[in-house]
Amino acid sequence: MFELIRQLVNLYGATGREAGVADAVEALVRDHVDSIRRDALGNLICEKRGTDPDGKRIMLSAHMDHIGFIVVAVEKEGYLRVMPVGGVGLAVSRTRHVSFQNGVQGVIVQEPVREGETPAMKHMFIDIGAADEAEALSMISLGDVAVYANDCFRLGEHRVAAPAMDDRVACALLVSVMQALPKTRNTVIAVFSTQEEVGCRGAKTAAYSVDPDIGIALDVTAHGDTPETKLPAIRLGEGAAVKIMDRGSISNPDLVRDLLAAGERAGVKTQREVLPFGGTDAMAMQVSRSGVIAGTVSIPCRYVHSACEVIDLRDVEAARALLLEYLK
Amino acid sequence: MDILNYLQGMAVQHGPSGHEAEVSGWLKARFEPLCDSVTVDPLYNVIALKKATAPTKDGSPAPRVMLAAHQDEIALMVADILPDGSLRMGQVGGVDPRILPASTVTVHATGGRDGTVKLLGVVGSTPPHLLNAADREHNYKREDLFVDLGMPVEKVRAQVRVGDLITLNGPATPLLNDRCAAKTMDDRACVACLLEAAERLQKMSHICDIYFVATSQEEVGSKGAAVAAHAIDPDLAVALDVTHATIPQSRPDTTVPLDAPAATYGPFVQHKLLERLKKAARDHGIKLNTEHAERFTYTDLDNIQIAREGVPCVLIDLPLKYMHTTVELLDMNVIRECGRLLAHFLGDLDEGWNEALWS
Amino acid sequence: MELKQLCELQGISGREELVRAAIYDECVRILGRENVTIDRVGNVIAHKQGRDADAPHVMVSAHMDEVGLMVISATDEGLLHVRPIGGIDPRVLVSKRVKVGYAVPEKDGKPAQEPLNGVIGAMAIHQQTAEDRKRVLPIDQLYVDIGAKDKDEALEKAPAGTPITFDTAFTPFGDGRILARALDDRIGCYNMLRLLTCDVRGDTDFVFTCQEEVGCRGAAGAAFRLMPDVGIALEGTTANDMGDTPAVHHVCNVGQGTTVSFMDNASIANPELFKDMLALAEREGIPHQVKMSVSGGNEGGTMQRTGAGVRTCVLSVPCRYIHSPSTVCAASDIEAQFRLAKAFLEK
Repeated sequence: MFELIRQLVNLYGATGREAGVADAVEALVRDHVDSIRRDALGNLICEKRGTDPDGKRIMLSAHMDHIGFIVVAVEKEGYLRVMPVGGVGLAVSRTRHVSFQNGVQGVIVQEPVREGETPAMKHMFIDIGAADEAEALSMISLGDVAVYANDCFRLGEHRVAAPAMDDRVACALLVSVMQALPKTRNTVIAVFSTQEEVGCRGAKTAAYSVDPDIGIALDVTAHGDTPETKLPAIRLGEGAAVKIMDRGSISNPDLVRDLLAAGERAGVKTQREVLPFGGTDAMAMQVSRSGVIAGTVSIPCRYVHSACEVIDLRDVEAARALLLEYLK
Repeated sequence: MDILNYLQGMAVQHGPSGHEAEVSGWLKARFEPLCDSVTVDPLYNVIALKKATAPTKDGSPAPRVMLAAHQDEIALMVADILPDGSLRMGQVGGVDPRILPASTVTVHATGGRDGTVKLLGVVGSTPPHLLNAADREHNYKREDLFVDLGMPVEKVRAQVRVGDLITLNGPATPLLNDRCAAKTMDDRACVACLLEAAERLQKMSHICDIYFVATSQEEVGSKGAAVAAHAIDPDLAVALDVTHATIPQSRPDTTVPLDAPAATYGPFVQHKLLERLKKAARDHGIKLNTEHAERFTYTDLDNIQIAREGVPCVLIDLPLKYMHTTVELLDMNVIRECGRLLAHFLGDLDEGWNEALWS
Repeated sequence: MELKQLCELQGISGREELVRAAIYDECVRILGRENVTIDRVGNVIAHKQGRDADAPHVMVSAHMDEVGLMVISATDEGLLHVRPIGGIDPRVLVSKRVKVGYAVPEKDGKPAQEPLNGVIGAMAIHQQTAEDRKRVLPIDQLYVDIGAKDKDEALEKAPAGTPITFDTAFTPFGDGRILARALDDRIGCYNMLRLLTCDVRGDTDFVFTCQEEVGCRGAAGAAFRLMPDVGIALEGTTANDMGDTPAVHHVCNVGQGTTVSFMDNASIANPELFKDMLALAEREGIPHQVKMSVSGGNEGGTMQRTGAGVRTCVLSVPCRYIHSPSTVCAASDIEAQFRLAKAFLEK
């Protein structure tokens, strides 16, 4: 599982620019599904047909995109001015190594602010080592998106840190589930979605075309087990989290019950997740067409939306076993 | 219909947004005798169809009318169990933390062996003896408050789990002048208007197919109404929701009097349909105030209007005081008047309803 | 008399008539009319002769009154302006139900009276500005709404001076806990009524006082009249043992026995009496705890400084959310207070 996660987190795939991730995922699942297509928003939709024509359509969604910084202007001196794509935090971004799709590397820096002024994204710039505007523009173009640079490493025995763990860890999970999933009576549609970080835009159109009965998002969730962080009551290494609710959606209570029961049958640890903020592709699936039974299986993750998102491999394995049991 | 009896019943039903199974079952039973079919969809919308009782004169299909009032309620949720057995709270919808100190709640505990068990809980407050002047100057935040189940932590853990729902307690309390206070008047009092209308329509003729919908998840973004409207694909819709009645601290431009229904005007509301609604009120001697919404109405209307190819909508407002508290107060006679207005609006709807709608 | 019955009687400070009548009848039933007096300020004093004429004369007190509200006027829209009677944090009033006026049973040909329902609302969260959310609503912006249409109707139904109590049903819940209003200090009244039958050593006067919540005004006169050697107050006190409050700030813990106070804002307990009380509890195996705070004040202080001075000690039942519509205590602590007081009076 670690190797698969490492392969996927190391790929460039900013929000709106997910094609490279989709290519890699497609190669990994091609032999394990009946059909693969991409839609207008770049969602990768992989369908494994069920044996029973009256079976249910179950959509699983993991998003491929990764928050970043979009270049909006170039200073005469060659520095890049940026705006956020998705929820990037200022405090965790200062003096960070970032990289572009074409391999250009940079450092994102905050300029000094006047006393009493609140630092904002307008005070940030990226230094790509260019001497002036012309050189900068020969390296990148306006509209290019920088993301936190690759940096995947193991943390202790069971844990892994990397940027883009949100949500490539779930992409890896979904790839691995599709690879292992036998034919079942239900049709299972794995959607590797796009643009989740700007409002679940990919999942919205995917859910409309897939028209599922049940939708399950696979995503990371926050933690409550580090100093002065109390909520949510989620601990790394304590198992897969089944979402009860977050800001974006309230999971269907029967689905929550079924997912937890599947975890129990599979003999893995689960946690009940109540997140006071955030949202996942479930919010888009739930309100698609005439309504979909929707929920989320989460991987507990520390420091979400930073360059060092930390997960525990045992939680991923628990989620995998839970999902395989549920889908069986 | 006996409004007080309905309110006393609805106020003890629990149906936080996304968890409307209990209240939807209760409401389904209330619509069944009045309608041709009643279904509950995957999001717990209760959809009750009363078919046209008269054919259209020109043989055109019966217009489909969707009436929407939401059944869900704001609530709290167990976010964590502390070492002393008290519960930290999350919320479902916008709960005003100011109403919580010293209130009682119902914890829907799912961790035991006997299915869901309802436990009485008390939300604590610090006694005034221990407060200093600075403490008294700020309102409690939800994070500062805990639910006390009166049990040691082992017993709490054996029964309660993170994610269990916590509902507010607020039984229907009759007051002077046919007024009543209860929790969840927002918006189950408007569902009462639907039932009142359905009852009156038993003796009236109407050319439209009427879909009474008790919607779900309004308090978290009007999700039930969105999917119900997609499923029903109505030709026109009436949303009903509560609005703010005048109280001493309120601004006169954003509140309406307590003693009559109101109708909203503004860009989201189809102005010709609104005229039709006003005419029904005039023709049948129903007092109808108006209020404005310059953009969002923050009701089910906002999502119904843009379902599928779009739906012309009007909005009826039921005034109440102290919204989102456990003492939401209204005049029960206004519920009757809303029901009467709705029934007449539907009964008077003729084949030409959509002629010149946009001219 | 059951605690439930006592708690269901309404009686804010100065308007204890319903509680007084019930307690008077009960005292008379147990001790005979000749031993029960209602004094000039409205305290009920029940006298019991001791078996040892040389033993100290003891006064035991518990107060009949509860905190509540009082109507002072009404707005043009028919909402009641109220003022707190006793210490009430206005923040606990928002979104609560109240009873306006008292439930008076039929008596002497006068018809029974029913109180009016009332609610205390506040501006909806939707209409609050960020400033509003921070601002605590003061009492003059909290109104009791009885549904009246205008000022005249409101004041006709609830004239100025009408007492208002919280509308909270007496409810046992959880693991031996009780939720009610007025537990402070109907608990003490309840235990005192039970103590009337015990075998007291010295002459003992049981004083059911009035107006404790507005400054212990009843107890002062009673103590002056009785001039006891020892004064014991049976009270409800503040427990702050909730959630993540550090243990050092708990004051006392619900379910861990009656508290014995070394000091509060009104009095310092007589040190020998305090020590004797703890030793007695220890010896008798009665659950007890020392109140770990100097806060609150009660009739202990009033008795202590009467006449030439009185040795006093306060035994309390820990109550969470005291002075709010939802006070919570443990039944076992009520029992512990009773047992310790009984042991003290009989020893």
